[in-house]
Amino acid sequence: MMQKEFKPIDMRYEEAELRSNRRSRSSISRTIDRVWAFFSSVKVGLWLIGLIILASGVGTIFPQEMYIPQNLPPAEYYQKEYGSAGLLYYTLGFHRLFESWWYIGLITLLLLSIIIVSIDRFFPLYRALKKQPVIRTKRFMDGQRFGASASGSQDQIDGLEPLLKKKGYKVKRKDGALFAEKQRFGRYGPYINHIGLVLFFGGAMLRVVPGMHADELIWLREGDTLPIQATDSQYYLKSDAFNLEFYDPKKENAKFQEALERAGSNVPKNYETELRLYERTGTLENGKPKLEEVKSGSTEVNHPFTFGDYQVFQEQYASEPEFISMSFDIMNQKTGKPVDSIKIDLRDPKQEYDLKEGYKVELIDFFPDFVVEDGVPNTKSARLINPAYVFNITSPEHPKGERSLVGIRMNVGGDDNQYAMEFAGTEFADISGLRVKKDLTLPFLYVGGIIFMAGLIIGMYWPHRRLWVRSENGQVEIAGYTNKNALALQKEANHALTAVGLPELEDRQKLREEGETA
Amino acid sequence: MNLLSLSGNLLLVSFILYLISTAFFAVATSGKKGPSKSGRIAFSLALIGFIAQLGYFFTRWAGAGHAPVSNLYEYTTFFGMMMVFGFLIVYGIYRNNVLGLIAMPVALLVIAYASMFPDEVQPLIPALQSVWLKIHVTTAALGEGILAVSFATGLLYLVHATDFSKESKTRTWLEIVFFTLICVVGYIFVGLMFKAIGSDSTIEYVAKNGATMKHEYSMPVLTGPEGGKVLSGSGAFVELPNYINANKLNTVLWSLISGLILYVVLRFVVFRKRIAETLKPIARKIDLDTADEISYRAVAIGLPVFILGGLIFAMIWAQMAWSRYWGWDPKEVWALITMLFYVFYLHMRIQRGWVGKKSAWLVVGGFAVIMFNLIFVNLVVAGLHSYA
Repeated sequence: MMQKEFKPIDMRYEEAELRSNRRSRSSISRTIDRVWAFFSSVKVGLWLIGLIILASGVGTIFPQEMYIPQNLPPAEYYQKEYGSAGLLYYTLGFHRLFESWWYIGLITLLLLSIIIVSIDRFFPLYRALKKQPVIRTKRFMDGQRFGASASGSQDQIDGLEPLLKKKGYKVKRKDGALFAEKQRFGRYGPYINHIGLVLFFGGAMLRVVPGMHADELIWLREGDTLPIQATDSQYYLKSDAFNLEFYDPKKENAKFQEALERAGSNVPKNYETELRLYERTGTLENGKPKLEEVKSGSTEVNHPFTFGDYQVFQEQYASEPEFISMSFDIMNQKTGKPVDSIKIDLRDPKQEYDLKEGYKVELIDFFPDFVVEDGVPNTKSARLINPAYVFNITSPEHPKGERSLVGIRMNVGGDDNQYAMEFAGTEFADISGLRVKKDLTLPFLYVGGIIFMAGLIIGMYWPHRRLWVRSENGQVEIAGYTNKNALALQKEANHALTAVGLPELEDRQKLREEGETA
Repeated sequence: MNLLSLSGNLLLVSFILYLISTAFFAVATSGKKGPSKSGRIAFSLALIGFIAQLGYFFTRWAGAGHAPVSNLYEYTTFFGMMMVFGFLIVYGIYRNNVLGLIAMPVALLVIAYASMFPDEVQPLIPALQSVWLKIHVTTAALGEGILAVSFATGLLYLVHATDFSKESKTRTWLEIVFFTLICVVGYIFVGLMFKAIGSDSTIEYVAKNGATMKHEYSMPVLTGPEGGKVLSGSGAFVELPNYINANKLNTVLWSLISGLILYVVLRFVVFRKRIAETLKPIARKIDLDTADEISYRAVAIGLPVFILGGLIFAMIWAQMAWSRYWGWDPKEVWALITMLFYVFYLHMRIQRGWVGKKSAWLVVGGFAVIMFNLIFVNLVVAGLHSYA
């Protein structure tokens, strides 16, 4: 039989009328129409994806601000580290690209596009698929990519029904015509996927709702108890101990030796903080909070400590431990003998230390992290890394006292004094960097992620297949449709068609292409 | 120790088997059309090689005490193995020998590239001590391996569809793709050569932050740091300002030089035509529609696997280990870019009818993104994932 000219029908939306194709009369509605049409255009969505790809790539050229060392101002760091290109990067704001209004704007526009395009397509498609006629027009039948036509009988069509049912098709009949369909839900895969995506991003945005998200970094010294501000100081954390273990190239299994030697520096094996969680139940008479222990346990990397909606993550640790106490001997430099000794608790230093009869040590000034700036002693930070003191020692010989500036391997102005502070011992404490987190948005992300994957898989692996057969004046017309994997449809349909003596489906698109090249 | 040396030997065995398999695919495609005896032999060899490599994987796992996907050597080797796996699946469906002739060499190249990294087993740092190491990394690599098959078919499509007698953009760009692949061969070649003759140098220099640093070169030094002091080996040919990593640039330069020499020899002495063109007689044996369909189906299978492993599992683990599921780390960003790129491809194909040549270029680009994330992001852009 001669091949008629093939005029394919766009089956993506079953020829349904889309909102985006509508043009209203009034000017306001027309504006809405235009906005709607803009966002429901796949082309616009793809442009947005392209721009996001480009912008994201730019954001990885140099490290983002959050990953650079904190000891330099960003502007200086980028220039020093990456030259003029780095300075340009900083000047353009690319050091905070992923937080920039325009990047977030691009993502928002893409989401808007996904939502609008899905609404625009889904409902008309759903309605069209819901009420599909069994008997289709000739234009429709001839416009399908797969089809065949041959003289045949009604019996042959009837014979198809059980065969197709066996293959999982739902079969409908009307006036002798046949319509078989399977896996219609495969058409909804992309929309399910989009719902998951919107839920995921919507969930992530819920973070801005008060109470949904809390994030706090606590530097906790061994032995210290600190309030968790993220819980409105309802809970307190105490560190009983911080344990840090390195791989020891000598003790470790021989197989790791080469790698550990190559690494050069110490490779951490494990670090964890032993924690005690307290709840504030009231206030004591001295104004301090009354605490009740709720839970104890440890937090290590990959195994956070959990309480209620909160998790405590072992995030980092201070590379150098802090001092918690220092002991001094008060030496009589003339005799070379100590008269007494004191121990200073650095977390709570006293102003005066009374010694034996007639002797006293006053702490005039205290610098936790000592530094000399412009010739003046000062402290670099509040951390107890390099403590220094200004002491005044009162003695029977010197009732007004003798002053000296004492620090680690340092004693300024004490040489001429009769009495001097001599370093006698110290206690250290490790400091653990704990991240306290609450994120009630996570369930939305989980559900969003699962729906996203489900939609992707449904859309990819459940092809929608349909077959229409009808006879007119002894001529049987067959049309087939699939949205994926053409070969599988042909195989499945041809198996049934040949079994009842009808011709196999032809790929009209291919025939036309071959006709063109011939 | 026995397990680890056995593991190393198994990897070598699989590498050799893949090589022989490639040779048999070459024989199978040089003959007449249709499945031949040599095609069956080639497939069997690839399969046995894959089983040997599985043996490498599990013996190393047992020897090291953790899944061997924890550094660049292990990951890249595993990625090559997943490429072979992806190819085996597709071969099982389509029985196409021509595909083997492209996919196997690319996988071989990836595995050989892996051998450039230090191969001793490393103990795991705390962040990596999690079951998610094996779940996240293996799934992501499997997805990437399957996606790589679409690159092989995309390349075949382009070679087949290009008329090399006429000047065209496709002809130029195809040649650039092959030149890049040859540069990888060049890099591996000079890497092995300099290792064998021992061309190590150490140069000390003062870094931007004032600290004294060392560059350890394994290749003769072309580019060195400004004011560098040679501790051992040879001095630099050219000194460069310190915001350029002279050591990495040195490696890139050697790859380019060796790639260029190799290319010139192949193009002007051995084949006397474009590299892409030499493959044309072979590529013609794959039907254009089939190549197009395989590359689409590889994406259809590979992309969901990649999203699951490279993004979803990754986020679950990141939440557990780093307390945040997403932190704009370069590796994370490039995983997102990979996904967006293939999403772009799918929509272009389904919604805007980009099939054939355009579609083939997109899958070639997708593979470039994957390789960029594997090589460049680990070695050049420092981030949380720099485990080499």
